[in-house]
Amino acid sequence: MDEQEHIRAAQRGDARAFNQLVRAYQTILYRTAFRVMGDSAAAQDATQDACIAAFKNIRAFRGGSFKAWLLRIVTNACYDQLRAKKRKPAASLDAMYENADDPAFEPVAELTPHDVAEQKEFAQVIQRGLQTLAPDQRATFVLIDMEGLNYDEAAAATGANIGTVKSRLSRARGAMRDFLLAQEELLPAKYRLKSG
Amino acid sequence: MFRNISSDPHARVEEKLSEYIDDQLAPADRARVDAHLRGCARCRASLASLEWTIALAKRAPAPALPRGFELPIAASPSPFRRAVRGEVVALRFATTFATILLVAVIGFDFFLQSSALRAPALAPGAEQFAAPASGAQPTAAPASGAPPTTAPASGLQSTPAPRALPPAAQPQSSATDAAKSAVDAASTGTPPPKPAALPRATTTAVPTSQPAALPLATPTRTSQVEARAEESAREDISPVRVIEIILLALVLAFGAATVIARKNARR
Repeated sequence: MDEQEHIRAAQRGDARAFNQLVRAYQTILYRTAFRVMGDSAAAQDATQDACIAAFKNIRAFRGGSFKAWLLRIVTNACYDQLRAKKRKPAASLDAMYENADDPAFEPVAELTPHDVAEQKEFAQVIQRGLQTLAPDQRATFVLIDMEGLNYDEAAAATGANIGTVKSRLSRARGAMRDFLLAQEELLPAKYRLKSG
Repeated sequence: MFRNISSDPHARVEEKLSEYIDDQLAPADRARVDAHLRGCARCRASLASLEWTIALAKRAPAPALPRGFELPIAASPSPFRRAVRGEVVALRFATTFATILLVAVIGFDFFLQSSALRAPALAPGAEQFAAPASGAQPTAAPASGAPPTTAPASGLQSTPAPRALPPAAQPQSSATDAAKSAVDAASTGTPPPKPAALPRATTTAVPTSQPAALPLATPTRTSQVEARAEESAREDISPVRVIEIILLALVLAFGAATVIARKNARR
């Protein structure tokens, strides 16, 4: 069964077909949620909420990019969680990153322990930079520059028009650039601009 | 203190660099940026730093998936649940249809009632036709002393005054004779001749003439009261009302069934 057949079956209420779709997209959904939320537990909640909402509303999907449709749901779930967090602030950002239980990153073969530590440090700097962005700029930057969506898909996933997407992306890139330049010493040497 | 972006060529190019990197600029804009970059080291450095930022973002390690996010299979609606959902749709349709019918019947009933309210205005005018004919013998009824109580009484109730006109001529004459003989008898002391045949004739006549013998105002009020009584009796058994009650009961029953079916569908 291809994706369209799974979608049609899921629209008829077939949970098994829907779960096939979940397995195909859960990685990108969780990655996006994690990068927007900055926290594994919150990202898992947002991803699970998004999957449930997607199943409930799958009849509303009328064609187009199913990936963008799912990402739209998970982005909205993240925004909802961020709004809720604003009302009830939790632990500090630094405490979250120092937490040994924070999620591991995807294992890359042939990495020495030194490389693994370097990767973790690098990921933390990027995540700190993302947290300095406004949620809508962060989501746009993550979707286009980290998950590889094009402008049209990012517009569909964020519910914005192309002009807004371009504007948000331009500001996000400028802000990330300024942050990374200011934190350059924290980056592994091979990632620094001057060493480029 | 504040740069006027529109007048600062570096600021204008800086704004366009993100789209320039993604090849999203119109050809004319791209040519302008190219031309500026050829002569501006500062903007070239800005472009390089942006490209470096994007490259770092692409290389950032991806977080590992902590677990699967598949839904439990019980989330799938069973055929029973699908049937219940269909039932909900059918009940909703039935409720809506019954409600529309009820509203239409109520509207029709309202229209009928407003037409009926205009109809009684004709009755007083019709009674006035009977009044002049009855004016000739105002004493006939009291003089006879024995107004018919059986058939005439019912005849009184059932016969509307306008119908009194055609037969009034004959009975009037026989009633006049009877009245006259009664008056004569009263004055002479002799019992008036028993108008044996007369009552029968009078029976047929009196129902029509007696109403005419009554004063002008009374027949109008009596017949109006009687007409209203008849109307209210008709209202009690109006078929339109029966239909309204049945439709209301259906709306309530379908509505309750819809609520119960929806609760079952959610379980």
